[in-house]
Amino acid sequence: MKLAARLSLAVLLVAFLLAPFLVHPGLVFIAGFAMIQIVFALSWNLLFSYAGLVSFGHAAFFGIGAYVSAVALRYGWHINFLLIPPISAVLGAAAAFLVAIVVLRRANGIQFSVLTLALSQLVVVLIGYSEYLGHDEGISAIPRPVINLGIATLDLNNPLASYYFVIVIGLIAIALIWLVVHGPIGRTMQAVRIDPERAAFVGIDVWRLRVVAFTLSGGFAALAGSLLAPWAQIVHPDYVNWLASAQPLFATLLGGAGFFWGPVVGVLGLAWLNYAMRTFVGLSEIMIGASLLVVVLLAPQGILGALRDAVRRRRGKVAGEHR
Amino acid sequence: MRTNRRQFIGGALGLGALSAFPISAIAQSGGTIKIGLITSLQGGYAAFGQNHQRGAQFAVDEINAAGGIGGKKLELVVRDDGLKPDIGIAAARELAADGVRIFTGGLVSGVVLALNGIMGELDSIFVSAAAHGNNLTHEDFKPNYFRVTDYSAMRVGAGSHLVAQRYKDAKVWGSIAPDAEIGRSVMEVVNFHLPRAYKELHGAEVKMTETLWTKFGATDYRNEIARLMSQGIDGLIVGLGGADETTFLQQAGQLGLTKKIQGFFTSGSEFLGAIALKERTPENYWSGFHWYYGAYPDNPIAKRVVDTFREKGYGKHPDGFVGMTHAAISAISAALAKGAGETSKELIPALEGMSFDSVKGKITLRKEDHQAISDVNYALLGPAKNEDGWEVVDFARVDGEPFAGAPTPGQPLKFG
Repeated sequence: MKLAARLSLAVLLVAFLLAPFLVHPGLVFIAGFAMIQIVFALSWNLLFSYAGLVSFGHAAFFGIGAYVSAVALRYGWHINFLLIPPISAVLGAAAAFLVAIVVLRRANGIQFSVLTLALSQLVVVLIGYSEYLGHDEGISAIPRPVINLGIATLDLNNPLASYYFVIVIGLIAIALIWLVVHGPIGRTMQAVRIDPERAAFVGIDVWRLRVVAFTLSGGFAALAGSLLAPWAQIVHPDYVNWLASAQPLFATLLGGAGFFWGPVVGVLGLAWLNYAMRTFVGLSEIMIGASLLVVVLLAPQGILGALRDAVRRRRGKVAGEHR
Repeated sequence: MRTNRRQFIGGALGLGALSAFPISAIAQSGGTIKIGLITSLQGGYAAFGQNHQRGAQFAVDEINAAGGIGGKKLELVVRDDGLKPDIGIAAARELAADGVRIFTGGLVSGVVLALNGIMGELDSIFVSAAAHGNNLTHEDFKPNYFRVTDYSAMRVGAGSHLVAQRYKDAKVWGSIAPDAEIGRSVMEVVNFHLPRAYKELHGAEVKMTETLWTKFGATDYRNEIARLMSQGIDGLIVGLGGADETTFLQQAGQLGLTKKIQGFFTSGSEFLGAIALKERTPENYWSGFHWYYGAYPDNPIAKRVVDTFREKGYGKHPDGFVGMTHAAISAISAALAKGAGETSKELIPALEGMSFDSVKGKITLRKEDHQAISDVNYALLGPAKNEDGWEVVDFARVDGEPFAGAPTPGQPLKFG
């Protein structure tokens, strides 16, 4: 199983790396967008599957990165664009930290989720009032940057360079999230998720750990957002609203909650469904909804959960059965 | 052989995967000119998007029936933008990779702004048939973008002039608009044009009461209606749009506001409110149109479009979305017929300053900012005892040129 999983990951990585040479530019755009969504969904899953927190307003942090990056490019900030993703991550993390120390003091569970939703909608309203951020129309026609690397320059106006920039930064973010969840912080998060009282009893500061998880998650979401401006060349309040916040949730549930790679499978599944249905005008929403329903009914633990059960069944083990 | 559930699901997934495999489905052939139509075919905009598709297809069919352009047939390739900029961009990039260089459609301004931003990179042009934002031909102007319809400031300016002309004695005007950029922009235009029109036409001063700002998606306007009724207004400007506007009109009719005032206008809802409200459609209701077909009874192009629309069983009343994609294809074919090739380098100069015949009569695409200079259409709607439940009582074709403002591509629209 582990070998099959590793092989699948390798194939996926190669597919991402070779996409510009295998498929048409429309699909390459979708692949780049999927990479951004993957980082965003993984940042949400860091909270959900590891720290046990459900954020309904995570797109607000994604939006911080997206708008920082968009205004930097649109208004010609004199700053090397290579610094924009880390700066966005720091700003997103700082905003998440402020939200966490206020909200997590007072709220838990569903109250926490609803408060995050309210805060994210507040961000949408504030954007609507801001001329600098383009009101409800967003910031469009964002120019792609030329990055000075010291010994050479990287012109993101070149479609290949632009694609690989998104893929490389996305892969670095995925690697960092993987390191976080497989390191001591990740294990402590799991302990808190499984039983916060027992975790507190053994000396874990539950509140502090949740603040750390939320801060890290906000930082990674903002980092994902910072890739949107140079890639899509438009940043819009629609990327910040509650529907955008629901996307990582759908992806995680579709791919498999509780699995690190679940959101990756979910994002790719949703992207594939959207792409496959693009010419079924009028039917696309129904077919996507029906497909999701089928997955939920046949595989309540998501696609990866279903695959794991299938492998166990083949080996003669049944989930939940003691042998 | 029996197929078990696992085999069936596997087979279905395999077939699905094959159907999604990105094989070029519309490889460019030598004898056709492909035009990409990107519009919104789902959600609350589906009806408009469908009419976008119909209007464009009518125009393509007419041109092909007459032998095409230079011996080449036109072919319409339709993609849904799902109301999302990224889906619109992916569709445009996919079509561009298949050799499409000419695009039209565009309903939602976010999607049009996104498409606008990449047309230069794709060496393509976008002839917009509905997007109404002032910014598209001002601060966000791009040389590869043309607009064959009027735009928000032009429509609202013409509407202000129209009501000033029709309601000489209405001296106090109220207004209700969403507390968002679109609402603020509408009110900026009204506050500039309405007092000016009264002064010019009647030498009279007009009083504008304080605008009532609402939230998008509001469902209860009773407080606002009560305030408007207490303001002693003679006329009203409704800056709400879509479902919000319909909800407001229904409640304003029930509470008697629309009977109490002489007239009111909304800038861009076409037949939407009347179709939804039927016999509850309020009186004195001027609705703005991209194209109102009844205003062009002697225009043979308009007559053809109306007849085709009815013959195909799409209904009795083609809206402005049908008319404007038809106009977009007319503009594109006129430029191609002038000898322009399909590249943006050839099409842009051919379209700049060009006048062409359309469902709306002569339309000129202004050279500087690629904005259509055309009529602005309004229709006076009211309840009726017929199968629709509403009727067009009167209509107006206002010359749009005085309200189009000076072309200032790259600069925001300014008043005063």
